Amino acid sequence: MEMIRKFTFMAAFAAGSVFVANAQDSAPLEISGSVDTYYKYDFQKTPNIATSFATDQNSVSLGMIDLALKKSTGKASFVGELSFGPRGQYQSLLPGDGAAANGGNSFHIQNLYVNYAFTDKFSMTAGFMGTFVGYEVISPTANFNYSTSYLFSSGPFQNAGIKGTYAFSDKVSLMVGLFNEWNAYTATRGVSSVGAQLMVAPVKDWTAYLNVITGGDGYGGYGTEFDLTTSYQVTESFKVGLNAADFSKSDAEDGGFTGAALYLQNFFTPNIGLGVRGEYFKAKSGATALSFAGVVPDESVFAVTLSANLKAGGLTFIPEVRLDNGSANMFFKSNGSATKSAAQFSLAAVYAF
Amino acid sequence: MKQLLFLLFVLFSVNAWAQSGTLTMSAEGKYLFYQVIEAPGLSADSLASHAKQFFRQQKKDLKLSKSEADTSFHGKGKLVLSKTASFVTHPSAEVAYTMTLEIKNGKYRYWLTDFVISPYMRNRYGNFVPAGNSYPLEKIPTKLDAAEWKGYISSTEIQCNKVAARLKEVMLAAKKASRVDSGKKAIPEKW
Repeated sequence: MEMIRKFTFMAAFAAGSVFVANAQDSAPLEISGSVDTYYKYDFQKTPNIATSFATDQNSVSLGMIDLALKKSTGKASFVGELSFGPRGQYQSLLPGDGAAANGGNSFHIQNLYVNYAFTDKFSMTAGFMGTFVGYEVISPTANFNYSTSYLFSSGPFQNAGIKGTYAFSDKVSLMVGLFNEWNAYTATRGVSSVGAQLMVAPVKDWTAYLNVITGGDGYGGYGTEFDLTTSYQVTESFKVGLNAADFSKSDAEDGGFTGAALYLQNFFTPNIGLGVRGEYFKAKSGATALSFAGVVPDESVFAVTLSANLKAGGLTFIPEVRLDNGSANMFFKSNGSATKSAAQFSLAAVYAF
Repeated sequence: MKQLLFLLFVLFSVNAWAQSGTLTMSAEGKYLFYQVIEAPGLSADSLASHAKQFFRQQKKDLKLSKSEADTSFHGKGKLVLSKTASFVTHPSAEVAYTMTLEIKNGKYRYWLTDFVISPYMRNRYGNFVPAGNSYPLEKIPTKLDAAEWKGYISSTEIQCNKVAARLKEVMLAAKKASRVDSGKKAIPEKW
């Protein structure tokens, strides 16, 4: 509680300082965004794999249209990012403010925050932001694979709150923040989470993020997630990434998840890349344990996803084959009987501008 | 041998003396932005002093990595390229480069080279950051990325000219300052 008071004081001081700051150089308004669409075919003719996005079976379907604005004036800046379409609405955002009466509304907001850089080393950000946890993100332009990992689908998508980031050097920075529960425009349990991120860049082209978020989660209760996200650009074309995470509900009987995903990506030319993701994911056991993306308590899944990125101007084609193998029967055959494995092919087109 | 090739390139480079510089391909097969600027009336000491001031002003954009006897300065910098189409604009890539600045009485010359481009991608917070892959600007583009590469080279040239303009402003501001100083000295003590 004392920490929250101190942080609130810092935030108030920070906000006050903004208003006494002199008007500074203004950068042009940045406008960017993306559009994505996909076709997916599950070889069992049923949408088996329950990770986020690329959900529709044997259908040319919409991802989203995403529009982002950014403006910087001196040390102050804002980002506003709106998204329309399944990926950018009910598949990644809560409708309205979460209240049942407002269920028909959508705010369409992926990012809406203001930032103030007090010095070259210290900045504060407040609003609704893409989460700092995990390797993959909602926007298809920043992921190599089109389908997403179990870790991504089970962890937070966004965090609303206020955070301060201090850069000790180019190689080390620390972020600490107070947040609502996961993925919520409006807190239903107050500002109930504390999160932190330590960034270290030990050598050139190697960056690692150690993340923790504890408090109100996205499953109606409280829990703690530890997350390691790291990537190393081994050569100018070859990159290795790793994401490992563990989530535990505050009541151990409610379970949680644990897992790791390894990413290997090579660009043969700046516009032709091939990458593979291998992931192990397990849902923890417990009397009242939760299931995550179709993985029931005490069961696990191993998934391999092979994707290509073929770029032409702003357009990227992502052909992809994915094989998921469960520890138990967690998928279905075309005749309705249960099976341990699932396989799918997808072709996505993503245009970024 | 490399120095000889470089000198030959300099001798035969027509663009080098132009007011607005262009990226040219050196004999070593590297893109080069080279200019010689006349600064009559300015001593090497004054120019060196203002060269140091220039590097200080660039902060993170260009850092002085080495200087030799106040006549030669070496820096490592970064240019941010932007993609602009109609009303849409945003950063598209950053280009790392090295800069060498050499000074003599009444003139200075400099060149920017070793360009390495890192295309940007938009991150989870809606900000543009390096995507990770880096390529020498001299890389021969494929048909797929030829137009994009041409845009990068053109934008790099524009940004080099901006560096050149900032450098000139500082170096020739010294010229103005020197003239004011010499003017003051010319005022007779008794009148």
